[in-house]
Amino acid sequence: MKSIICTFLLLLVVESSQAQMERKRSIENLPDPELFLSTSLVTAQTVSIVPKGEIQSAISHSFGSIRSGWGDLFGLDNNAAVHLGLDIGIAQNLSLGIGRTSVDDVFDLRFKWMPYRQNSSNSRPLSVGFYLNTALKTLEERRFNYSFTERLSYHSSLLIARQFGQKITLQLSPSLSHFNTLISQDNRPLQHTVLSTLLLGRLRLNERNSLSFETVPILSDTDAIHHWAFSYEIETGGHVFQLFLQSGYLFTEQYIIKQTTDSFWDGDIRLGFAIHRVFQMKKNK
Amino acid sequence: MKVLKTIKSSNSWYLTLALMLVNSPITLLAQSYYAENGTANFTSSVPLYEFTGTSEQLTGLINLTDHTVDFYLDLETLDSGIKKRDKDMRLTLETKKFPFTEFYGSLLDSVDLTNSNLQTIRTRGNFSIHGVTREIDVEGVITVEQNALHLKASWVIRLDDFNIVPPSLLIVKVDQIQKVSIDIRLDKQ
Repeated sequence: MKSIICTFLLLLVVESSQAQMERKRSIENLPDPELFLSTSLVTAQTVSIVPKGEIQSAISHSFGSIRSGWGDLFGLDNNAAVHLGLDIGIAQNLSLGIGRTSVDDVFDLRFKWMPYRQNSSNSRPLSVGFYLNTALKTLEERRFNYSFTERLSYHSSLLIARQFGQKITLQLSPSLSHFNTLISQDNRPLQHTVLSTLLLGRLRLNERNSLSFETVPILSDTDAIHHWAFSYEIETGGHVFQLFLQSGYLFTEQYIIKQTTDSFWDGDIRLGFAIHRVFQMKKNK
Repeated sequence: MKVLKTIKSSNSWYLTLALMLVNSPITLLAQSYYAENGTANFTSSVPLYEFTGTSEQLTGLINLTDHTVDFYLDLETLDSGIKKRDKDMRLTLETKKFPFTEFYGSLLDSVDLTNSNLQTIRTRGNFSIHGVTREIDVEGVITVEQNALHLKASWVIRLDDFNIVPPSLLIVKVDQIQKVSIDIRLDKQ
């Protein structure tokens, strides 16, 4: 009897020792939602931020007005505006960036802080952060001899966004912009400081493709022409490609708010594209 | 009457022991080594560039009694150093649908526990990723340490063998050949 039980016991032990381990997930929580594919849409900054230890380069290119028709291939032959940008994730929720726009030779230095980000458990239902940039117009003016300070302009935004379900993200960015120097073209009183609200949205088509828009209702100037842009975004392998239609050809927030003169809905539209590429600052061990 | 009672008691003791052993997570008679903090690297190439997804959460079990090896990894733990590339890797490997990669097989060579030099060992087993399982042979080296085995192994897989469509960037495509390597120190159970 004893030998039968011992044999049975050994068989069970051998059987149990040959079984595969139970597979346990190492990550139980769902990843936090990705509200936007890139850190900026056509011009406006989103709540997305360059992660710590990464560098993002961005090239934006806007062609001429599509009004020019077939003769200039709907603006593709015409003068282009280019913005080059470089952003560095210096801490988990903090990035610094520098950029240059070819129009007016504007350099911009920017700072983004995203301390509060929407998470998958919904215990944080919104993403909230702050964005600040300072721009320096370096274009030589024959009429005036500007000082360094006179060439400066500033923009600050509170970034508030939420993803609704899996598909839609909306962002509201109450903003304050200021130009140290403005030139009066038509004897209208100059408004150096402008209060506006950037409105951004994204429709997620699938994991790699999105449609998005940005516009700027300007609260403090009812006569202002509002900037509009629509973008189709493709994400692949650390790159985000954007194909966009926008009014104007400016790429710095205070400039699109204050100096947009083309009306998107009157057909003053330009075709453009942007490429965002992320690099690793430090290689994995 | 007393003798009969003693025999019954002895039977119930054996049965209790048998049940305890069967239900125990640690098999008393098996000589097994286990870890859940091993390193796994998946290295991919694109022209002029190479990148590696790394995880420090490789779980492994080597049983020297029945010569089985069992390793698995939660693919969502792979970190390539760039968040967007990690996302791309997860999408490519469809980790929501197939969260684990695993290797389950047998040791073809015996491990000499008295030898502290590097020992080359061969294994044969089923490697699974992206919901596809294929039998492969893997050669590695084992170092016998104090109550532990230190294993290093590497092999290559072709992505199309596992129905993985590598991501492409315009005309630049990730190479079909992926290098897999593991480095794990397994403690005696």
